[in-house]
Amino acid sequence: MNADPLALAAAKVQRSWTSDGLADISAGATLLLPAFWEWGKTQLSPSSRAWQVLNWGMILSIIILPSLFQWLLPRFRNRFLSRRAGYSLPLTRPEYRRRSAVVAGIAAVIAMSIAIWLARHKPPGLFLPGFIAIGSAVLLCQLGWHASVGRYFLLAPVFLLLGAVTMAWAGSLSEALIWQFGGMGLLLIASGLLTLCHWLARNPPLEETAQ
Amino acid sequence: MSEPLRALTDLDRVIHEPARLMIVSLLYLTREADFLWLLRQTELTKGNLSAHLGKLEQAGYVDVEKRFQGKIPQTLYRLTESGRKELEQYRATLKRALEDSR
Repeated sequence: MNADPLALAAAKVQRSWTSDGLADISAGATLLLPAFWEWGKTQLSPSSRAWQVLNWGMILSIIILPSLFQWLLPRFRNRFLSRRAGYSLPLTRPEYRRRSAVVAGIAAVIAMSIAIWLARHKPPGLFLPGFIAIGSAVLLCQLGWHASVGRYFLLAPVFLLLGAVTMAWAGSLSEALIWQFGGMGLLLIASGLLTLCHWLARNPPLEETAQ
Repeated sequence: MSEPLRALTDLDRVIHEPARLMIVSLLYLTREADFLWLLRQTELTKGNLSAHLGKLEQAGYVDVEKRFQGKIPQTLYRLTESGRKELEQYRATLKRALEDSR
C-alpha cells in the first residue's frame, strides 16, 4: 500500500475526474477531428489552398485541443454538473506534470520501436497507426491502473486490434490515419457517453451544496 | 531512538487525524473545492466533514468563502499557504521516519 497521502488523494481525484465520462468524450473529439481533417484532405488536390488550410487545421487541432479541453472540462463540470459532483478547480502540481511527461515519453519510445519493427516491410509512414495504437494503449493502461478505471483496460486491447487491422489493410498513410484516429475517437466517445449516462443515473442532483 | 523516528512525536496532530489528512490532501490538489465535492470524495457524513473543516479553519489551514451559485448557497474551501507548508512538512517527516525504520 502507498503510504503517501497525496498519492492516494491524487488517485482518488483522478478517478473522480474520469468517472463522468467527459474526459473520454473530449479525448474522442480530439482524435475524431483530425480524422475529419484528413478525410477532407483526401477529397481535395494537395496543391489547393483548402488542402493547406485543412493540413494546418489538423496539426493545430492536435496541438491545441488537448490543452483546451484540459482547461475547459473542469469549468464545464462546475457549470453544469456541480449539483451532482460538487465544485472543484484542479491544481496540477509540477511533480505530477513531470511524472506524466516521463510516463508519456517512455510509452512513446516503446511504442515507436515496436511499431517501426512491425511496419518494416510496409510503405513509409505506415508505422504511425501502430505507434498511435500501442502508445495510447500503454497510456490507457497506466491511467486505468493509477485511477482504478476498469473500462480503460477494456479499451486498450481494442485500440491495439484497431492498430493491427489498420497496419494490415490501409493502403496509404492518409487512409491509415483516418481509420486509426476515427476509430479510436468513436470508441472513446461511445465509452464516454455510456459512462456519462450511467454516472448521471447514479448521481442525482442535491438541493444543498453548502454546509 | 533515531532522529527521524523521534520527529514523529512532533507531527502536527491537526493534520495527522486520518479524515483531516484526507481533506487536506484533497485540497492540496485543487485551487478550490466546495463542500459537496469534499463530501463526495471523502465519503464522510455532512456533520463529520463539517466538524473537521471547522478544526482546519481554526488552525488556519483552510480558507472558507460562502457565495451563491444562482440561488443555491455554496461554501468554497481553499488550502492556505500555511496549510500547504504544513502538509509538505508532515509528508517529509513521515517519509524520513519510514525510510529510517527500513
